[in-house]
Amino acid sequence: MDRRTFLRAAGLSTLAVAAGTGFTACSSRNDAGPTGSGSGSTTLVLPTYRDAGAAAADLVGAHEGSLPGFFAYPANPSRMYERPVVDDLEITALTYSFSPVVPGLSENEMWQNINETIGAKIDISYTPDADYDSRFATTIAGGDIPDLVAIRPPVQELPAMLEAAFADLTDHLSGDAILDYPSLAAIPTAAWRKAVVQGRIWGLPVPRPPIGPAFFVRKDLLEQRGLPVQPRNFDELADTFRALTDARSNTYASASVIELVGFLANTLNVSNGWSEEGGSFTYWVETDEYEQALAETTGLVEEGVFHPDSIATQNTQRNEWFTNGSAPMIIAGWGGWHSFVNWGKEVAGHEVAAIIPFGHDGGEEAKHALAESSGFTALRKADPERIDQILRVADWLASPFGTQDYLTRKFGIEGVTYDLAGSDPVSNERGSNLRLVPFAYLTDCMGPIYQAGDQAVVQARFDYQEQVLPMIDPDPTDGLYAPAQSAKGAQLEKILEDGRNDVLAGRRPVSQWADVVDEWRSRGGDEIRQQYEDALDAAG
Amino acid sequence: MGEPLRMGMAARAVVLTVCCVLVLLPFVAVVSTSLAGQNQITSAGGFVLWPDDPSLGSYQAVLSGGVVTRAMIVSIGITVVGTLGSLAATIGLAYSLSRPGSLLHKPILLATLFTLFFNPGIIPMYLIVRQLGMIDTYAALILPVLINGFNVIVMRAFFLEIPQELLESARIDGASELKILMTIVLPLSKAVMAVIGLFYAVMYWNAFFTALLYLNSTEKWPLQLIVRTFVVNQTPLAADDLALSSNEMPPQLSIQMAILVLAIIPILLVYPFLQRHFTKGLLVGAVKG
Repeated sequence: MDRRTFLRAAGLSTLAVAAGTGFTACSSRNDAGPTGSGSGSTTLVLPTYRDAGAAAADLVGAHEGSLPGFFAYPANPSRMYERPVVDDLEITALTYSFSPVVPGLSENEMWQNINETIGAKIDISYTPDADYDSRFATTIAGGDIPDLVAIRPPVQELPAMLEAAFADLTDHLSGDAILDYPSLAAIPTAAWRKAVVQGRIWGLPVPRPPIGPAFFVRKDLLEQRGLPVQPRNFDELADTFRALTDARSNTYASASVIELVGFLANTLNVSNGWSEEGGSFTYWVETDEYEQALAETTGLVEEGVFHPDSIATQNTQRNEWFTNGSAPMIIAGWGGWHSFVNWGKEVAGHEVAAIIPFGHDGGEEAKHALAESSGFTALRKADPERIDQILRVADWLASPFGTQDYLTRKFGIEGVTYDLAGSDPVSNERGSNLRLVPFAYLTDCMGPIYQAGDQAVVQARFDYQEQVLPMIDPDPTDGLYAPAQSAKGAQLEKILEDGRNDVLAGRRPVSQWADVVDEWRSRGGDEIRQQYEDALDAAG
Repeated sequence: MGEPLRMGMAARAVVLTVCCVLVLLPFVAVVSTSLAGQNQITSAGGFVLWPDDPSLGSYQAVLSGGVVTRAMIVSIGITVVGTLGSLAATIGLAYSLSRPGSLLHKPILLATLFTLFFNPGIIPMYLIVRQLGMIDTYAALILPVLINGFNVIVMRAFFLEIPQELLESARIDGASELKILMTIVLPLSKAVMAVIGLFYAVMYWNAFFTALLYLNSTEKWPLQLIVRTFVVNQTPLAADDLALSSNEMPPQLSIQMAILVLAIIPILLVYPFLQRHFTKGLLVGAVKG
């Protein structure tokens, strides 16, 4: 058990005890109108989508949820908002960040400028991503809740917590009501589903494209050896793994072992996580296909095609191995495409491509991994007027790509924190540090596919997106709350993770995978399934 | 010197050298990597044993912006104030517990022992800190951990070993308890104070979790929490997540290593001065409970 899992388990179970009484008191004091807990009597109308019309894209996708592609930042961007957006509002916020710490408000002219533009004093507290759960638990238990709080399920007693402490935004945002907030209205509908709990809208989405990890390869190295960059079936992929491995020169095909299990399950037409058919739920580890994927990956591990330190090592290290060619295949975030290209600039001939999931035995029947949910940001209970003011601020924080407001938010002040190369903003040294204030983890617009000065990467990512979007199934558990998932989800995942790693490392035979799944079922997997099925049933 | 003896010496030398190398190697790798360029890190596929073209670029990147410099000052401040405060409180408690017949001697000793076995947990601690109005103050990093029960027990054991006759004679001469403590007990206890002081100093220096929970403003964060944001968070893909183009970022690994070096240097500097007390101090309480 690692520290984080432990803290989540320990911290949150304490939270339930410590916070339980507070919440009861709280919710009886402010009777919060429509609650919607457990009742699916009224069907929720999701916020109306309306494009903000900020800029015309160079590449326009064909699917719902396609991100537009831009080769350059639109010239002469318009200002979407009157300044200031609100009148002298003080807002506190709590969220997480993946970046190093940024100079605080008093020393950060970019942050000051954003506050000035909005007319608000936004005071963000944030923690490293890995520690957010503990900070969140203590803050909620402590009771002094900031105006905006990032919520990352699973959270124990989520519906009760939301009702006790946070504002139900349904009346403000549902249907056409959202059109008062033009930038929020431009957030895709799929992203809003992540902010729905039991039929009510409880927050602002942190929109992310639904595309999960992609399978990157070093195109140049594969072509050099006459290997297919886009294998047609599992056997071709396995042969490629073998051909790339040369243990004597410390070269292995890949270091993404665990990720390959998921990828192979996808090639067998199984989606990550839960799937739903006719009202009954199945978790992907239960399928025969998953077991087959695990067996095949284990076989490859035994053949020695993976870097020996694959499982234990960090992503930073895997990225280095990919870049220097000592592990030229990697499964990593789709958004990392440009980073890989960029790191390879010093390496002669370096070229990156991504494998589209193929049918395991040929054909095109396959799934693509779904991105992990990034949660949502809830607003502390307040009078409707204040909620409206905060939503106006959030609206500005979601101002779309192609506007001047977007530049102010992401790049700062021209000539101070960024300069224009053509029409593309380029942060200077100070700007690239100052801009890391995690506004983007409160709420954001859906970012397009854009990489200043790198048309090839934009085109490649766009093409990839267009091919894989139809292969991604939406998460059937969106908007459904299963108490057991929040209470036991982490421990249950741990059972699966340990079992899977035991198999991959050869400590247990694949034939025992069924025992692992049985344990998962009896320790809570079945309970979660039942709760999802009931919740879906209740939602009608 | 006989042949077998020389063989033994040689074998010992080899073993010791190997051990030294094994201990030093990670340090060398950390320092070298912090000085190496991205090209070399990429071609080595990670850690570098000796930088081809050493540059202080990573240190400049880390120290620019002032976040790390400020955090270092904060950390040093917390460590110095905290260690002095902790030593004073621990000495006071340990001394009174070592004097039989002091007020509520038994219950206080039991209460101290109790904290060795039972820990209040994160949320109750947070609630107390909040009720005392210490959220977002440096006091929250020091007061909740001011006294460590284990250190009190070790120090009390040391005080109990001081010959009672010394204290008796001082008392007969009319010295007060405070005077006895200051002029007789403490001068005899330098070793244990050095050790306990180092324990406390390292604890304060390394603490990041309390800062994470209790401090809202990042301006107050100590160095270790800043280190954490660099080292633990550093999945470079996340940078892309924020639409940050990564050519703006210096070599990841060397930055991580530079900040690690910055974080261990102060403690390494203090250690040699305390080392001569260390062995003696550590043995205190080993044979007497």
